[in-house]
Amino acid sequence: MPDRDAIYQSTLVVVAEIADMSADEIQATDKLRDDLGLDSLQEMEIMSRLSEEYDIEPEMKDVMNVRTVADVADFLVTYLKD
Amino acid sequence: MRALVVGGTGFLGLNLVEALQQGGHEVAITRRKSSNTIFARRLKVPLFTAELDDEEALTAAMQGRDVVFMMAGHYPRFSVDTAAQTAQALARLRTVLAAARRARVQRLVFTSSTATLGTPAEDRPVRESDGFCVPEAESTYFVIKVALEQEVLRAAQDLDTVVVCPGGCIGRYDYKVGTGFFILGVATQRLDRFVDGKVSMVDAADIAAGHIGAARHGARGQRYILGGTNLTVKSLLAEVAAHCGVAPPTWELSPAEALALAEAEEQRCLLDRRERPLMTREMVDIARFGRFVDASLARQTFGYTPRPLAQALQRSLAWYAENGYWNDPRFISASTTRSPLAALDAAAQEKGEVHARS
Repeated sequence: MPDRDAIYQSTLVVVAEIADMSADEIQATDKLRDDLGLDSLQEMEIMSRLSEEYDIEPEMKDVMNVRTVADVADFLVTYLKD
Repeated sequence: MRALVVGGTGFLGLNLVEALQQGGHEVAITRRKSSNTIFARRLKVPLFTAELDDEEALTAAMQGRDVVFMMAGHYPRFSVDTAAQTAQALARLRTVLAAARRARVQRLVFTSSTATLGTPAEDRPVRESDGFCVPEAESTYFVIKVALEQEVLRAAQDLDTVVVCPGGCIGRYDYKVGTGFFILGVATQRLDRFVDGKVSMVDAADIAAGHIGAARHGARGQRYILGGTNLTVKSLLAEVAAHCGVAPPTWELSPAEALALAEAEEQRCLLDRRERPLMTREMVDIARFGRFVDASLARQTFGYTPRPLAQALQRSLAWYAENGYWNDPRFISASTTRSPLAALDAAAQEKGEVHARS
């Protein structure tokens, strides 16, 4: 299983691409909507892209609970551990 | 059949994939790079990456397919710059049609909408033979739908095309919450106002069955209405509210008030995409221009039989609850008697009244 740092880095890459920002500008505590200006469909796109990358099939209700960049990485770490 | 669903990662597409798989058909789908594939991958369906302007990728995905279901399209979220949006939508459709010709697919089934239907001279539900509506230039969704359907029907001269026109779709996999906002908005009590009009509500699984019927038994160059329960928006909202045990919205807007609100809301949300408009031009137009529809031709041609509204509402509400869109444990499992709708349906069936509320 990839370590948390690797997962966080790949999360940053995807979030930066979809938010159309540089990864340097993004903090772990940034809220996807309030701080990065993403909408619900873009949030789903992030989770879809990462779940494809890590070959997992998350539940939609879990996807909808993600709020921050760190939440995304934590979700993947937890899911992959399980 | 060997089928390809263009737009198979969307609401109707996922329902069609599920129906094709259950019918023993071989199915693959196309997806855009940005598509949400969470549900499609769970259905274990092969995915081809093909943007709608990539004729090579589309042709490759269509090779060896008997039927292509064209369910994707350029449908902008808001009614802004209709002419440019329509030109873009037409260009992408023409690319898909060109790919279908190159791949020599036997049939292309295009998903249109009852929004394209014309108005009958006399007071009766609309039929396929009533022609096309003439949408206002500002009604981007309607303008695009009419333009695309007419293009597909023209293409029937040298490509076997069939058109299906679904009504207001609700049901499983509505992860973007389209027409289903009429349902979810009442259930969560976030919909506090409405504009009245006529709608025909149908479960997406029945729409999927209608697509398969049209592919197998439809006539080339023909359109088929896939309607459901004809009722007013006000009656629909009251029915949903009764099922959920909440009060229905009572703030009824006139069409002019609703249009003004929708235009202001779309402008506000264009500036801040995180926001969801209280009302969209599309929602207003659906109610303003909605008609009761007659699905007799689909029923006679391929046995199209939409389920009663109560069942469609139950499935829709259960899916939203199971997927975290609202939190009401009564609706988590559609098959248990904990669900008030399941209990209502069971009681109605016992009394032989299963269709009474639809």
